[in-house]
Amino acid sequence: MARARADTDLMGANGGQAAQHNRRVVLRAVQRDAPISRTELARQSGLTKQAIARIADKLIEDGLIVEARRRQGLRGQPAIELELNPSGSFAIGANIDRDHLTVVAVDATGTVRGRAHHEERFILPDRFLELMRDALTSFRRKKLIDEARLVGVGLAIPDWLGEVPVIGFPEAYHAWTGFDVRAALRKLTHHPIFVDNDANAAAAGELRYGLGSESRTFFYILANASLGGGLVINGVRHGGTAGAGAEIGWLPTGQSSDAERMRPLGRIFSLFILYDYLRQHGVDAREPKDLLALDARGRALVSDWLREVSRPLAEAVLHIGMIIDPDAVVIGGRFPVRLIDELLRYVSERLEQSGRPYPSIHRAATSEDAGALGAAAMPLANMIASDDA
Amino acid sequence: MTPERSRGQSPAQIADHNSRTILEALRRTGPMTRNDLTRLVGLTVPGITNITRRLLADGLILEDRRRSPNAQIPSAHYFLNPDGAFAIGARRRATGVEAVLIDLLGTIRARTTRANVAAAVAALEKAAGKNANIVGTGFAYDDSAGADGIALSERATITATLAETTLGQGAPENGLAMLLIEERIRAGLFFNGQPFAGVHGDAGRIGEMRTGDDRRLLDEVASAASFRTAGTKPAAVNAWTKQAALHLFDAVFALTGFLAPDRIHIAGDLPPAVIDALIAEMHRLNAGRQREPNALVLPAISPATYGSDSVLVGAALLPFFARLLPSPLAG
Repeated sequence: MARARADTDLMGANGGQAAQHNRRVVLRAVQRDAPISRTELARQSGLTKQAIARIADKLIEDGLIVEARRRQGLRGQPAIELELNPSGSFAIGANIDRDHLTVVAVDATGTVRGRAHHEERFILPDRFLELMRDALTSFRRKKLIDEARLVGVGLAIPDWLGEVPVIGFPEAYHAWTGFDVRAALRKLTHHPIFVDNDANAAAAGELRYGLGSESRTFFYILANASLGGGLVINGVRHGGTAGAGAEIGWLPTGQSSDAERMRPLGRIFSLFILYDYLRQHGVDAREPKDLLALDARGRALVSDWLREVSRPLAEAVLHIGMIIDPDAVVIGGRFPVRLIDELLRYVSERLEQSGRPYPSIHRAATSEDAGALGAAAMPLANMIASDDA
Repeated sequence: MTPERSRGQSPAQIADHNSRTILEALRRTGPMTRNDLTRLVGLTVPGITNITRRLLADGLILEDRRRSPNAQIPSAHYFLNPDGAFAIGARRRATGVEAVLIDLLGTIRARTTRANVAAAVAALEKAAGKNANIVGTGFAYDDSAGADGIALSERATITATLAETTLGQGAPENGLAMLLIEERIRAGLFFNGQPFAGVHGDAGRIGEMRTGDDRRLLDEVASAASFRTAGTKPAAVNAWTKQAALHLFDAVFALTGFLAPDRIHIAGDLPPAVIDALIAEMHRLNAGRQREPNALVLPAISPATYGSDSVLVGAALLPFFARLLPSPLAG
């Protein structure tokens, strides 16, 4: 029965590892449930009050958590509650895509301290690095973050950026193929670098700043220039083989004719496909903000398109419910909030009509900057990463 | 238990963890010396000695002197005692209660089908012998049948999955899906080192998916019930297999798209030859798909190691997880 397999789970436990483990348990609990008292921490973790007091003192000394909000209890001593020190750690997150680059600097609680945004089509690697350098320099010069407490730089980047033939793809954009983005970023900063695809990053952001506080298992549909998906199972991002999990774009859409049936969802639903649809009807829109400035005819066209998209999307949501049974399916990305809400209305109607059980579906909390915020969440999450996940 | 809610560790929990870890290390790797164990498990030699002494006293492991592959001198090796512990796995089916007795290595030592759980357990206890250390009985249930009031119980999809991850080909890094083709078609999922049944226990209901060009329910065209209606003539079986594979492929495709498991296995009531034919047909369909740079790659699909016994063997593992081995089950 002996077989070759990873034995990393076959580790015994000793006191030193337990101390590190317990420190992270406490830090995670504070991050998630702050403000939280020492008594509550002891109850949640199963550790003694003395152990909690020792760990909390050390975390306060290290500047990672602070005592706050002396809450007057009903009787007895006021409870001293703990929360994350916002300035205890910082992270930078960037999202590069076919139509933009966004860079944000966030503190430990996810508050955005600085933001640089470039609404540009098909940014090439050299230009990307130049803009990244500018953003980092600007954050530093304006003292928006404490460089000594910067835990890392995260980048959210769509898979196969240099290859997926999106509408308007220029030849030069192949430059992204084989471009070692990690090595290039390492020349800009000595801080740890985290790279993941945009939808996984968006799901990480949602886990930390949005739905994550109430839901531990959800599917994130990221509707940007192209379509992506991210999955969180029991509070852990699920990448799957080669990080290919939650690849919703390739789902056959169950249309009536054979040719349509094999048309994957990613060829039906994305910002670029909407722009193209509008262009074919003589309406010019190139950026998300253009979609909010349309005349009555333009708005009607958008509504028609959203209704059409809602059919395959509703089926995808049904299937996600049957296969994964998540708390929720969320939709986020650079579609204007108003359009996402309209689309959700159509999808909900279709789901209702299906007469079958379906998961709750709503708009992501981190929509427009989902990718960049999620990218910034990656280094922050790593700091308190579960050593037993 | 979600990692965020993970708890601290007390000394007693550490000792229990280490004992289970050593049994699991021996179970996976086979005979090992104290030094091997020290290296693999990361504990001190005195720590290992304490634990092996107790496991020897409990009869769970045995010791002999033999030479390691590159060693000149024989040294003490520890290995699992197959007869050191037994467990029973049971399940209610249309024909009665099916049950198996497995030993500590996961080998099926006896099996029976009786009218009720008590009779099945009694028969297997008798088969095990008077002095056998039977750790307990685990029960696999289908959504409709319930758990029969037995404490150690799990969904059939989950037990079938655990049979594969613990005793079969193991738990791959990015998880696996176990397609259980019975009266209905369901999938057991395993990710991040533990089975996943969905937030409401409703994950893996692939039989309810509308698939194929005709958008039929997968259960109607690919379940064991559907297979029986096809009859036994080779031409009919052939035609059924083609239709079933066509529809099952859609479900596998969606499952792969959402979860990208490293492996997919098929277990259940279909004859092994039919499962093989289904898999071959799905591979043929996959080869015919158009290729694009970021197109979905289907994972390896293969029959479950324990075949139609997967559910029962996984159920029998539950008592071992409760008492002796590291448990992949949450909580």
